Amino acid sequence: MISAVELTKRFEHAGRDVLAADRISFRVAQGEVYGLLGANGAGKTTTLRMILGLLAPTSGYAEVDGYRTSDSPDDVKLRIGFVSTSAGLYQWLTPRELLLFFADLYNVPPRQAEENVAKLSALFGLSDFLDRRSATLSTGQKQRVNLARSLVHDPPVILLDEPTRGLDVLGSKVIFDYIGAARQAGKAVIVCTHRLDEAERMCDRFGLLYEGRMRHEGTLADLRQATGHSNLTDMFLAGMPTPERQEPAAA
Amino acid sequence: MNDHSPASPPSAATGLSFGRIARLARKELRETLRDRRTILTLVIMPLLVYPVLSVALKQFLLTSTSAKQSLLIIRTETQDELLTLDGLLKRGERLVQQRDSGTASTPLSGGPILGAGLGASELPLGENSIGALSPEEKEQSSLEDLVRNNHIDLGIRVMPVENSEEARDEVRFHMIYRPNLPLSRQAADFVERRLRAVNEQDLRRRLSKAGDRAPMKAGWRLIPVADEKGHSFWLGALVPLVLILMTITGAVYPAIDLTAGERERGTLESLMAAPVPRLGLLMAKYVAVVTVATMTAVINLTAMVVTLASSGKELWTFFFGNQGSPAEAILAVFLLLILFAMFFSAVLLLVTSFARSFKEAQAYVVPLMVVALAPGFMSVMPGLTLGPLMSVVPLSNIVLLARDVMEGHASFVWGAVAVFTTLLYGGVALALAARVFGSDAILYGSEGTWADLFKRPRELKSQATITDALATLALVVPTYVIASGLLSSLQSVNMVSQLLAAAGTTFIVFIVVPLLMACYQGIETKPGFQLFRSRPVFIVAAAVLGVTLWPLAYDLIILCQQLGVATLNIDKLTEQRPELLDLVARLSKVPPWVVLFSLAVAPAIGEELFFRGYLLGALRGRMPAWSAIGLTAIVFGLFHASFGGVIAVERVLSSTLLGLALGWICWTTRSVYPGMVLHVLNNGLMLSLTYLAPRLQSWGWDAEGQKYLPLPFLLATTIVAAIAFLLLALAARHQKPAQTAPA
Repeated sequence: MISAVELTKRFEHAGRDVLAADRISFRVAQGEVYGLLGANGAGKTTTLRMILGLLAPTSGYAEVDGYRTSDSPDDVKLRIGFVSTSAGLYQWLTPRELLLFFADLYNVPPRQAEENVAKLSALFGLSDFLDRRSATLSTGQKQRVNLARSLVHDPPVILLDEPTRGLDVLGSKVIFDYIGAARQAGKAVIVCTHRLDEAERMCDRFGLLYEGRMRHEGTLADLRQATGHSNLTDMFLAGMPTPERQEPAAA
Repeated sequence: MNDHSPASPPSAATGLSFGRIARLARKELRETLRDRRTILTLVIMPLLVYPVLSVALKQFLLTSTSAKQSLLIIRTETQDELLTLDGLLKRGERLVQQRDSGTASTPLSGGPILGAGLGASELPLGENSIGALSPEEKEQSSLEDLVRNNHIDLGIRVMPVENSEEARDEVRFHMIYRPNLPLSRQAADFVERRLRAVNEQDLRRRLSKAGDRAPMKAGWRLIPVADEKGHSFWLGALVPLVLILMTITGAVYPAIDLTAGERERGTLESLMAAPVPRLGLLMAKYVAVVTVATMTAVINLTAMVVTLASSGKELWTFFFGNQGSPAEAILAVFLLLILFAMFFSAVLLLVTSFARSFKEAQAYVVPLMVVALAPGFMSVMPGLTLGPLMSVVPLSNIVLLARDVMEGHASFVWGAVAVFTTLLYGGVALALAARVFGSDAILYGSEGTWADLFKRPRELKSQATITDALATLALVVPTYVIASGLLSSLQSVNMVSQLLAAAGTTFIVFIVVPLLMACYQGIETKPGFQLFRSRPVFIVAAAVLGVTLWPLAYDLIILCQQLGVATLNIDKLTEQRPELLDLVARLSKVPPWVVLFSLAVAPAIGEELFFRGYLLGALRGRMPAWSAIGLTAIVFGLFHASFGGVIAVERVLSSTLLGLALGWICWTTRSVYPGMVLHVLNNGLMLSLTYLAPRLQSWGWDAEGQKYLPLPFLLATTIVAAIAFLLLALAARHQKPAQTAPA
């Protein structure tokens, strides 16, 4: 369903060339949850944005459901539900108006959009505040609305960028339930996170990124075999640069 | 969730329809109009601004024009001084009144007071407050202090006269007044006019006693007049300026909120992740900003008209003159406000699209407002007219046009230029905004800067983009208008120099400017201007068309004139501008090669390079053939709209049709050269009509009498032209496609 092939992104920053993603390749199948893991600045978000078509790769390409991002950006976007850690809501719109607006952006017919909103409202418990102005919602409520927004067009692919950041235990549980339900529904999911304990619970396969490069990739069993460590945290720490050779992080 | 099966989305990627843009704009509007800050600028501001402005203006009128019947306070220091003054003033008052009513036979000079044209007059002597200071007042402060502190308008002191034996009847006054206070000036003028009248009468009496009854050297009366609509003031541009400023205020907040605000709130990324082209999202935001700006304009205009109407006749006349109901002028000003809103909203979106936060956007908008205000305020200056230069200066052109519309004497030609250039500048701003809005530099804060927008691309391209084309057009149009204005001021130079200057202007406007722009835009010259070698058959066919198309164009102009569509009446024009006849006479004395080179060859080569080579080249592959050809033909036609300072509809029509033929030929042959041949021949033959007139007359056609060409001649040329078109189309089918296809 999702293929990243040699995705590379160079930025120019303060007159210096920064390699944010260096020939990153992986595949995600239908009904699979893929964890893209790494420290801040490892290149997780950059990779996600290249798959979505928000950033043009310097080289390499990504494909979603057979469509290449560089050739058919709108076809790719149509098949993706995207939840970003920094995503906000329109303060003066209600969640219902916002969901219907995004349904329209994704070409969902109005009647279908109403049905989808009703289903998502039940799924994420939005009914209490569906017609309240978004500015008045709590952080958890806003995150639930954002999750519903990513599903309003029923996409086969979901990209989640740090979905649990800033959420309490209950808020995080909603995310776990959401990912579980997406897996069951046969969607291909990529989750970017640096919360390794959560990733172990949620993901089927993992890609460990270090400074823009894919260091290890596979199931938890594959990674244990490859690294000799039993959990993701140890694997991760083992791959981190030691303080002596630590260099400034990439973008 | 289980209901959401992973079935692939049925429909392909979304397009960019009007319906979609309208729905997107509706959401933007809903969000903007719910925001209290929008309501503040939209409703509250006008409700506050206009009453305050009207009070201020009334005060201004009162002080600057010495509004009607102001009570003047004049004081002397003593009762004796008052008696002396009062006697003279009473005598002077009688003389002034006789003079004003025109009954006096002796005083020659004068008339109503200077402010009479502005509605000012003065109270009769007896109704003003003229008196002496009380002893207490005199004790406490001097006349100077009283005038300085604005307690009295004028202080008068009687001064001693030397050699009083010789001048025992003479009285000398010192009049103490404050020059910067209108009422104080008026009081001084009041007394001075009366004393002068007394002196004048005395002088005449003495001369008469001496036997000198000869009339004075000069006599005069002041006769104030207003213009035909009753306007008497130069502040006509103030109303449009205020309205434009308010419209700007209305557009600023939504423009920032819908671009930088969206980025700051974190909603821009979700929006960019949706399958809607960036241009569509930007257009929706543009529609929303223009709508809010237009609503602001409507509310402001309404508030202004209501305030003026309820402020009494003075303010109404001040702005609208004596016309009873200036509904047409108000409607025209409203339309101009919408036009301005369209232009300024595009500029605002361009500026705010660069910003990554509300604060950053405000930092960009404030200098823009200052830059915008400078020409706006300049337009309020008296004596500034909407001509070649001002009609292409953004903002000023709309302010001046609105002023002229309100005063009922707007020029159609310069008004059209102002409207066209404003639309063009708006288009350029919008096209540039589309390049910036939602780009990853803005979205993710990578190293995108203003300089990127104006940086020359590293890689050369084979054709201009639509943004490139609009930017070049936005430079060519004002250059053309200003250059044409400069050319028309060369009347005193000899004809050959004028013609060569015209050729040089054509060269600069249509060749140098586009070439420089293309160089800056990183466009390869050869494919960018379609300078490909052409097959001989194309050149021959184009030459045949050049020889055979002019009769059709000529008859079309005659047809337009007979149908009444035409606006160019040569008789009327030469009557209004007799120098045109002189121009034609002088033209016939110039060597024909100079005329042909300047008015046929140079324009043909320049215009083909720009309109067909560059502009049409930019549209190739980006829109259907006939849309691209039609669009360039219309622009080409509009460039030919002005003739001798008036709009010539028939020239627009015939030039547009010629543009269609030239566009099709360039599109088909993928080269500008055949079009150049056609254009040179067509221009040359049209110019040569005067030389060929005798021969044509012998064939039964009277060029001077503006009659249709003989039908057989017209039929023959039409058939030959049709064959040439066919030949071109057939030959083009065998053209190698690889020769020129741009990337």
